[in-house]
Amino acid sequence: MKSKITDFLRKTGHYYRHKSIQFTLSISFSFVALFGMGFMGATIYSRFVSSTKELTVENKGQLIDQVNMNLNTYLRNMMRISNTMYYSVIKKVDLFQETQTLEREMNLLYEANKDNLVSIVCFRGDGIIVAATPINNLKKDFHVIDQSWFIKANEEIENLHFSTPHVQNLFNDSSFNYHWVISLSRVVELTNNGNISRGILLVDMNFSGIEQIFTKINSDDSGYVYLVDSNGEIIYHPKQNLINSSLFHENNAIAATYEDGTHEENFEDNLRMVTVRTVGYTGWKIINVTPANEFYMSFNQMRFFTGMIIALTILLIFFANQFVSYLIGNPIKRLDDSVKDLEYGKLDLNIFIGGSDEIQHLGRTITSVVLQMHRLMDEIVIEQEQKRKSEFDSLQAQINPHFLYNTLDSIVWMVESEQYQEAISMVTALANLFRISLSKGKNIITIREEIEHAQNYLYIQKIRYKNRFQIKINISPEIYECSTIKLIVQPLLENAIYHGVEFMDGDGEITIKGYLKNNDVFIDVIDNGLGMPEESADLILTDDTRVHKKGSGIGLSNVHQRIQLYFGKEYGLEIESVLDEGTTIHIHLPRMLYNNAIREDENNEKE
Amino acid sequence: MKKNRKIILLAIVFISLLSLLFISTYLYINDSNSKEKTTKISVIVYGNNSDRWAMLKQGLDQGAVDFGAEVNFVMMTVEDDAEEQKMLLEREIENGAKGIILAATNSKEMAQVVSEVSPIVPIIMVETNVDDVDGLVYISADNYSMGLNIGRSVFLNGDEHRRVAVFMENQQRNSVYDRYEGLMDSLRYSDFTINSWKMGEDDNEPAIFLQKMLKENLVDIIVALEDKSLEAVADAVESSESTVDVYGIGSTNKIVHYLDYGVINSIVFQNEFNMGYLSIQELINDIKMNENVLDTEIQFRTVNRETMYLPNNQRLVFPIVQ
Repeated sequence: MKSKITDFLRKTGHYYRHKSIQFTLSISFSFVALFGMGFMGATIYSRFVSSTKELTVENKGQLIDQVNMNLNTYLRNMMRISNTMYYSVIKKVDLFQETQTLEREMNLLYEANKDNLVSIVCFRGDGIIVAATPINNLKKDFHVIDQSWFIKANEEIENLHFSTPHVQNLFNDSSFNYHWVISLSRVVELTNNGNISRGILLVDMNFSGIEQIFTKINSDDSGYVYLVDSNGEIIYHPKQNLINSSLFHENNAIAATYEDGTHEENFEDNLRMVTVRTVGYTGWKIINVTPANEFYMSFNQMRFFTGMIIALTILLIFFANQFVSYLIGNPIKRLDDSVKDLEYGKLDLNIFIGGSDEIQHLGRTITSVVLQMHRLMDEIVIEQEQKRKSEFDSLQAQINPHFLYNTLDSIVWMVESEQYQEAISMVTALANLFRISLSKGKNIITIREEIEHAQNYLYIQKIRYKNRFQIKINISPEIYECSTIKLIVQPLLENAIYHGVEFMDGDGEITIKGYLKNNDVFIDVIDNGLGMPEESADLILTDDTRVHKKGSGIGLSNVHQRIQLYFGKEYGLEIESVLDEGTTIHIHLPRMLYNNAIREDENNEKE
Repeated sequence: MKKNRKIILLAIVFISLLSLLFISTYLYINDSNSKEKTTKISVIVYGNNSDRWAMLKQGLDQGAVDFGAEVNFVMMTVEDDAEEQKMLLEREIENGAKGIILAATNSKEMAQVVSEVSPIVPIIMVETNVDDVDGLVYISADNYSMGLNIGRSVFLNGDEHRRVAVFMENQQRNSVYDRYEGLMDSLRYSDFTINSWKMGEDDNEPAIFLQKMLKENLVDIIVALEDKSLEAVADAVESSESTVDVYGIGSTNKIVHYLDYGVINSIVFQNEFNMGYLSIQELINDIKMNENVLDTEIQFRTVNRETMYLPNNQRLVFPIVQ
């Protein structure tokens, strides 16, 4: 179980971590809202329930107090009549002489309280009537001394006794009226000719008095109030007739044992709240019954209402959450998308800037970082190019000192041997060579110039090598005005001389051929020297490190790289060499008229 | 996109307000519904003595309060007139009674109209049923058993060879007829002489007829099988100062009074409060819930002068009029 929970939590956590910020925000907020609202609703509901109960209990308490007060008035009234009768009349009257007085006083008292009274009767201890009002015609065969009120009064002579309601059946009454009464009986001392004997005073009070008190209270719908005596016998019940007919049952026997206060009981599967008050003098109990479903009805409504409000609030909060999380999450998502684009190498810079202040700031920062990155990258490219250029320049510069030294050495040697004419030619050739070499700092020159430069070079070399080789130059006139980068033929010639023909006395031959093929310019430098194996021919073009000790020091690879750098990878040198037969090197250039090439070159430099 | 969202948001607010309105309306309706509307019910009884129906009426009133009915209690102008009762029945239905509680004045003559009306308006028969109409609900004590019981009381009266007169009034009501049969069955094997006293066409006033019969015939016991005739018998016996023992079925104030004063020896009476209450209950169930209601037999009691004041009987014999 525990592992299951852990597993679940782990999975949830995992799930959460891989969801968008918007989703996480909205789900978390909604969950919190749900929880919070549920808790709040439950709290409000329970508070409502308890306060309603309290209120009801309080109301019922007040109701019962009112009933109690009225009932007390009723009972006190009864006792007052009894007391008046006893202390003010019976005690002062000697029956032997003043029976008339007793009857008169009794009548007076009856008349004064006619509304509540049914009769007042005074009996002797043996059940013979002493005086009675309003009727004193006792039924024949009626045994007063067997009546419970008579017996009870005799049992506890110092007390007043209240009976439960019963039909009064003492007197002959020609009308068909039978009164339900409550009898108050007590023992009295009767004076008869100075002798004191025991008698019973009975005050029968109309039950309708009690009925009225309760009917008024029971007129509303919420529960009912009934009255029991101390034994649980029902004195008044709003559904008395139903109880008599066994159509309704009351928990009176149990309720009579309750202490004063509010109790909850379960009677016939009905939960109900019972409030009990004991009435003074009598030990009667007023019992208020409120069925629990009366609360529950209002509770149900409240529950429904609370539920609806909560549901509505949750709905609103949910949508608000969606909205807020959209507001927060969407800019982040869009920023993320921009960064992703960047990640995938999309170069056009369009970083999203929007949303809250922080996100905007983030967007701006990323933008500036990216901009800076771009700038740095550009700078690196430029720097690299510059570096290459300077390298190239320096390579170009390498040509001069060595060759110059050798040439000057040859000139010195000529002058020393007084070959002035040759020396002059040599110097002129050298000057031409340098003129073209310099070319006012331009990289691009015409093929004519390049060939001229080669011729100058060859002239110098020829003198230096004392015509050890022959030279053939065959340039197609249509390529003269095409452009080339400078100093590409001369290194090839140098190579041919040093490796090809230097050691061939008089037999060496170097041919320079220029021609158009497939609309590209080709310049071939062909020698009939030693040649080389195929492997080393391939190596020559790729290996920078092979710098010659003699000559200009510009290797074939340098020429090859320069051509490719300027004109593209499809151009450059091709070497065909057969050992002991010679070597042919093709310079492959695009056909480009000099003027156009110059312009392009200038443009490149400007950038 | 943004515009769409705005619209959705507005829609949500709108729906929320609408549902709030809906809730409050629902609650309001719920509240007002909880005060149930009362159902109009007409109760048509025979006779013109309101005292005779006092207990039934109490039961009806209590039932009306408990089950939410508005009861129109209708009596006739005479003791027995089937035509009038028919008319009353039709009038009450015309006046919009949703249900009828009927004590038939004449079981045979009322049968036709009741069988016609009962499919239209639910009818519950109380006290006296009509003859041979199917599907009617009848709420009453077992009349035959009541007859048996009064017969037993007569039988237990004591001496042998007694002369018993049965006052044959209102035999057109099957309730009374059933009681009569019960009475006769219980006395069948006794050696009592049984006479049936039946009023002739010329006899208008039962009490006078009875006085005449008392003078003319020597009887020891008179039995009456319903309130009106029991009252008449008691009146006649009282006024003629006869020593005849009176037994009967019924429990009006007058009867109780005569029982109390020894004019009537013993009575059998049914709990008409129950009759009234249960009839309302069943009728409302029938009308509101369409429940199949059943015949209900209510209790009856036998009391005499000695037992009438016992606490259990006292409450039934002397109803507390609320």
